[in-house]
Amino acid sequence: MRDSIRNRPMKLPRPAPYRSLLLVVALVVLALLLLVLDQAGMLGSLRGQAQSLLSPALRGLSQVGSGLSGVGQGLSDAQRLSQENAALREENSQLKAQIIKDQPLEQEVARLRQQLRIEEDRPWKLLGADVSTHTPDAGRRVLILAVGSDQGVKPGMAVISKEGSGPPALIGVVEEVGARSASVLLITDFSSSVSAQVYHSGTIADGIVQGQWQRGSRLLLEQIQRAAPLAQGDIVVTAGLSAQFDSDLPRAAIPKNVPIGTVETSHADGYSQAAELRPFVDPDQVRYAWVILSQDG
Amino acid sequence: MGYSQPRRIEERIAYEVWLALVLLLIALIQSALLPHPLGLVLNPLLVLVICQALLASPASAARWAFYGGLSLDLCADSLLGSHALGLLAAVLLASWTLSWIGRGNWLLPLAGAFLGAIAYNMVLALLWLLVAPIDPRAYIMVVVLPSTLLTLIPALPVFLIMRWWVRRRRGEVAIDVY
Repeated sequence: MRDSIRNRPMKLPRPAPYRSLLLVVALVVLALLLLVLDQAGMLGSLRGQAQSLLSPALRGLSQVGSGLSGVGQGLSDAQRLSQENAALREENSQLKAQIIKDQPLEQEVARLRQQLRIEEDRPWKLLGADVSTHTPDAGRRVLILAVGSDQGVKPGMAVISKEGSGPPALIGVVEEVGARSASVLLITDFSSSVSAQVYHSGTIADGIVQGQWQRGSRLLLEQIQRAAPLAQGDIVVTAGLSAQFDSDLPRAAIPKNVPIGTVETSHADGYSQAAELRPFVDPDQVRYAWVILSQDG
Repeated sequence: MGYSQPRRIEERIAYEVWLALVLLLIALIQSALLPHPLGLVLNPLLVLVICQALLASPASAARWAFYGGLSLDLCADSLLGSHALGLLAAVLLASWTLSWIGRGNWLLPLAGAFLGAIAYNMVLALLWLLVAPIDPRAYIMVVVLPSTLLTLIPALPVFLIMRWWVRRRRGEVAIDVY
């Protein structure tokens, strides 16, 4: 190709041989630098501000997801009824539309009722929150709640949820808090450990509930005395040991007697016992949860 | 003379901003909207980044990986740079080990997705290892392999769509190797 004005060969841009490699290496170094700075807590405020901006979008998308599943359910119901009777189908579709319209309100009322019932039964002050997002990869079990320090949430607070007719149960502990968002480390994550007690026909044994998801299971109750009797169905609750000491530890806000799950199987583990647990609430399915703000109501 | 250098830089910055915003949107959808079958997560960003690495240059895919990874870190409240490192590892492994396979070969996206997903999950595992000890065998069986298989499913259709788009832009004629 020639430059028509100066009549000399025109140089076309050619990629430098190591330009790609340099860029990739530079980005890897930059990512490592960010990692180190964030680990040292130097990017906390910047990250908090960015997450505060993203939090409404995440919450909105999450609600869109719930809404879509609701619409899908409503449509399938209407289709089934249409086979029975055309008039009923029309009426049903109208009712469904009304239900979908009222769904957010009804859901809110149901959640507030549940919260009231829990607060009546237990000496806890609760704060309800939508789950904005679950972790976007399978490596860690973390969810983000759409409440933060503006609403009084602090690291270490216990997070509970309810599934069907089961009791309100622990699903995780607040790990980090932004102004309007809080990340919750789920009890099923392998880095989560919570002091716990097992009730077996009048006797109580202490142990530690360890997350096991990345190890192929869900929850493992460890370090129970070898002599302690254990059976399938025994109820496991939090021991609240750190809360009693009123220490500054991150787990210090987990109250006593928060249900966790039931014993499925138990086995000897050296000088102690261990038991596989079935959690009362599957943390992966949680869409709405409550943060325990205080224990005395 | 009014060379177009400043305009090109502006265009480039505008392109990078748009790219970062689009990848942020995908990260938001991945975090908040996509279902979690059996506790696993569909990872469209990983698939897109790997396909970009196979179709374009490693440098271009690395930029996608960096922007997308930071977006995922913000959405997941994980350490900034952790997902970016995972995606960059996927780009490196997929693009430089499979550069000898032609883009027309349908095995390319499957091999790329497999290698890329392994690299991504292994880098994240190494980073999580700093948080708590994990059993490598169990982690591979429970997290790495299912996630890798889940990445393989959309890899081929996404690759074909992206390849069609790239060829359309370049005006190429499709020739497949079967």
